[in-house]
Amino acid sequence: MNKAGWWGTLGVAGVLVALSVGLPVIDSAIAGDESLPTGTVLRLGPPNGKGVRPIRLTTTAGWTLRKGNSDLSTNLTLRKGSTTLIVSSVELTPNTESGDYPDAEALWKGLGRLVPLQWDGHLSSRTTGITSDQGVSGLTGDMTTARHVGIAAVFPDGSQGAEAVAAGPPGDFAAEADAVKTMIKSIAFSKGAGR
Amino acid sequence: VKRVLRRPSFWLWLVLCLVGLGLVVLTMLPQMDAFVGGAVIGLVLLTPVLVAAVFFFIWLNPIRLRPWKPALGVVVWGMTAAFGVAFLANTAFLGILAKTAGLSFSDRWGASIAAPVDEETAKLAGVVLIALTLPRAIRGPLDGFSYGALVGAGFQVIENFLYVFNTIILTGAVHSNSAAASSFFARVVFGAWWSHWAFTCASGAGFGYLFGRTDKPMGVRIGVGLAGFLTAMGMHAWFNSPLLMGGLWQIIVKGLPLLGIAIAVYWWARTDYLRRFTAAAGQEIALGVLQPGEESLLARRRRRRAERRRVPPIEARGLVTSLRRAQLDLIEEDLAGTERVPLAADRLRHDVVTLRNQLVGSLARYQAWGRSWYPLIPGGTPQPPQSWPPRPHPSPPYPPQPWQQPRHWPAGGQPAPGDEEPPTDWSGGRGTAGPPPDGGGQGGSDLPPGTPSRMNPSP
Repeated sequence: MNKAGWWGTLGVAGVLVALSVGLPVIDSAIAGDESLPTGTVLRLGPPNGKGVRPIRLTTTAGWTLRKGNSDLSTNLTLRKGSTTLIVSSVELTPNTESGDYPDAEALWKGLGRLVPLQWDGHLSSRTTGITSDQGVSGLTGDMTTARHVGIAAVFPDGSQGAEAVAAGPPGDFAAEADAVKTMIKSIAFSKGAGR
Repeated sequence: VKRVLRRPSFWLWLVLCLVGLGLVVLTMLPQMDAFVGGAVIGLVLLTPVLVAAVFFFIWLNPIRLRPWKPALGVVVWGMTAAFGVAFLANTAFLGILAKTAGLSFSDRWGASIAAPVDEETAKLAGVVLIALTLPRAIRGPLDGFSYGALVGAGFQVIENFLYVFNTIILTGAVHSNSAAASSFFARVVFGAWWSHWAFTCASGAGFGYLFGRTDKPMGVRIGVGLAGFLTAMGMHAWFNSPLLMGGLWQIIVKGLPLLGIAIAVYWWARTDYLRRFTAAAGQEIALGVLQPGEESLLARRRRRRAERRRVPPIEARGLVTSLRRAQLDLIEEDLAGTERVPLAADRLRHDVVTLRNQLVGSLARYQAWGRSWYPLIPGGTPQPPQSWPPRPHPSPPYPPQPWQQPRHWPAGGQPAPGDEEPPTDWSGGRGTAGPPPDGGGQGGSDLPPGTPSRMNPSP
């Protein structure tokens, strides 16, 4: 191999290391948490033609938005102490036979398949009804991982759905449980935000 | 193989493909386990797409099919290493954009900023590594185009497989099978025609020009290489931009121009290759190794197939296949810019002359049995017998090696009395089923008496 081959290989290796190692190092070095004042309204979900996002969430005191782990079209990650809350937008598709959009039970079942992937935990099969401040009916239940406990909730609204999962160390989460429930109940759907 | 194993670029390719494969498995295996139906649907629908794309880009090479080993090498790179690098880099780049420019900006423009930089670089690196590992594989923009398209096809298929799971997750994992199928339709049926393969073929063609066109000034080569890379990134940015998203507009205004650019790049690269092929064939005609008319026959796979069907079966058909292969090898050797095998061209010229003589003999024997054959160069003008070498070869002195000497010449490189000028025009004349130039119909070749060859063995 001539020198050009060595230099070329080293150059390619350098560029690829810069992309796959350098960028993550830079990303982790940049602080990305933004403290949210009480009552901040966060908007979530793919925007329609007018730029309106279909889901709203109103914060209580002490939450920070983790920008590096958030994407306005799909999900927001919030933290309060050691408790993490992830709110996700779900685009619901109708059943091919009946034409009906999924109800809260179907959404809960689907979330039960996603939680093991995203949280390495599982949802309780026991659910209770929950009604958001906007009046949308959903389901809520417990969520557990190896070291954390938490709750989850789902709200279907026609072709749009919202899911929320919150978890933290048992002691810490118990202290924040009310704040989490308040946040979850603040989830609202923007009327006319359909695509 | 030994030469390849000694090259660091091969080992970098191998290590990064393995690391990338590990990342692919780590990322997708849990999702495949959770959504078995979606995974099966994705695999069943995407595997034929990948196979068809690979065959298409191997076939798209004019004159000859592209060698499959480097082709598979770049496809594997696209599916593993490029995907792994892009996966890590995109996640980080989008995070940086979200933290510095804000979530709204990142959500709207992040994909059209991060993906072109990360993914086009990672994909092109596969073409560069193939060029460093097998320099003869990249002789110009057409080779770069094909390998770029193949890297892109591999990347595209594995990315589409990931999007099967992304779609399932975005739709709440409620109807995972129908979500998998809808993902296929959205990303493959309506989007695959102008996606990753189209972007990387542009950067690959530019790199092919930079790497393979050693006859051009370095400034021009760098300019074309850079233009190709920027074009690929521009195409990718346009494709990912939030403008004109969804529906028919996305196909007409966003997709079709990208397909048009890819076709234009292919046409430019193909024209460049055929022009160089014709020029190299012309040089061999001037040297007397090829005959006038053969260059157009060699340049078309269909004509070569038709020729093989016309010649008598078994021996002559095998010889004409070998002859055309040697002639194509010779022309490609003339085009191999960066890594020429020493004296390979001379050896191939000798092979061409020898094979031609053997073919003449075979056809003459066939003629002696009272059968006829069609002219092998359609419309070819009969030429006076040519010989190789027609004049002293410039460098090195011909023949410097024993293997270079025509078999009917004694060692030392000078023809013995009566041995000179083995005739090479065996076309049989225009449109006639006549005998070879001379000696046909006698059951022997036209080689001078005493010339040892397969057709006219020495007593």
